[in-house]
Amino acid sequence: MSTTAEPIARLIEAFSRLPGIGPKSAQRLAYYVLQSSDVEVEELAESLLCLKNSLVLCSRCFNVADKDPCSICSDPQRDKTVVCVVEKPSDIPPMERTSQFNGLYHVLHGVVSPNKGIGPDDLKIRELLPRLRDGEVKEVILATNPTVEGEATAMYIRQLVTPMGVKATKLARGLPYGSDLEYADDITLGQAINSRQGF
Amino acid sequence: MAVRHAVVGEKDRIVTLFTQEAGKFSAVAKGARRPGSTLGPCVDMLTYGRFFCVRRRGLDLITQATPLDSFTTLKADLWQLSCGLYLCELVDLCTVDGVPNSPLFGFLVTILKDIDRAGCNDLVLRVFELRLLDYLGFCPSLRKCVNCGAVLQPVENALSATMGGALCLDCARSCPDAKPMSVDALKVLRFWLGCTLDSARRVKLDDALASELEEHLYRFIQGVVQRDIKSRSWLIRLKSEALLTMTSELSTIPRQIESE
Repeated sequence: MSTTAEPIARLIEAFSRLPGIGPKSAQRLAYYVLQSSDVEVEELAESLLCLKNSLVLCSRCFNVADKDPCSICSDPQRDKTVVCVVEKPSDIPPMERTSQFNGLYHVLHGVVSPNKGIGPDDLKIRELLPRLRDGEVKEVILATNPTVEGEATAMYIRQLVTPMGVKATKLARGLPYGSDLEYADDITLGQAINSRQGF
Repeated sequence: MAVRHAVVGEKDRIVTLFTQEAGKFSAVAKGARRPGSTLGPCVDMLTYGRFFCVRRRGLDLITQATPLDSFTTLKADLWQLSCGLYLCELVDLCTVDGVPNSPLFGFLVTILKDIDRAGCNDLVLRVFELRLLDYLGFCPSLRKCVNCGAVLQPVENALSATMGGALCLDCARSCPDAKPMSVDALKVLRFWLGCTLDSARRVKLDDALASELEEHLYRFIQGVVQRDIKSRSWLIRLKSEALLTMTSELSTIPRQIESE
């Protein structure tokens, strides 16, 4: 027989389903919530409900947003000739933080993973093509993760967009800033040498 | 070599490694998804490397990894990359955890190096499928009828996945899953079992024979794994889309000529 009260056990169970949260962390979070003030708990509950109820997918870029089209797609200051293709909505904030990119996005919601049975039809790849047909977009930046599946997805999209006269580029592969060359792995260092540029 | 991987936690991966000494096993690569992680590139699929693991009660832990060959040419081509993933899935599905299979491991590395050097076509995939069956002990019997033991005559015989090899015409009638097998198909399969990869690549097959061999070998593999091979449908899709592209390119030629 469990000694934990049923509502706490339910909350621990709910927290432990979150990524990166084990049973111990879930228990710690549940007891933290229990000790919080009523206002804080209500805010948390309202935020969770609001997350599911008020968010929509932007019909142009398929980013998660609070309105359709999203703030990026409806911003007239954005460069509409460049579209950056990313795997998931959480890839957009790091790109925005760089302040180096002022174009539009397209979120695939996954990658082609042949061994898991995930193909292009399970992603938002076909939805990218109508955005390129009007001729306004000149470049597509393929910002998929540098993994085998990310590369396969990027190469597949390149095959689709190149015949449409759109330039396909991908993010450079190389050494992270502040790292030590001595401890760099052979593959990354090799790619960094291959993609070296004039200085 | 990693044959499967999954994301776990914030920055980790669970990797299924196929190794020469310890066979197939799963291990955690801590921080492999972090930029700058030295483990990350090594535990990605289609990277041949040397792995140092700590045995633990649950999943093992990968502590160090050194890449020996990352097959960069293979990874730069969508078709070759997809073929490599298909080979990884086959190995993953057909092997059992903790059972070393050194000849199969050696052949996997050899064939990936060969694809990296000379590209990949359907022949290479078929040779791998046949040798995979051979190394696993499921190689189809191709000299004598598996039912009556009679030496196969140079006429159209049959192949049965459930019986485990070729059947003479008389025995084929009583076997429900026996499929007709041409003399040429039998000869090619026998040749591929003993030849080098370079010799195997030089075999010229017409479309009918190539699809006959593909069908026979796929039925055999399915008989072993008892489930669909997911990456196969991706290969079929890539081939059909490539054909569509070629057809559309051909269809534009008359228009170009007309416009000129």
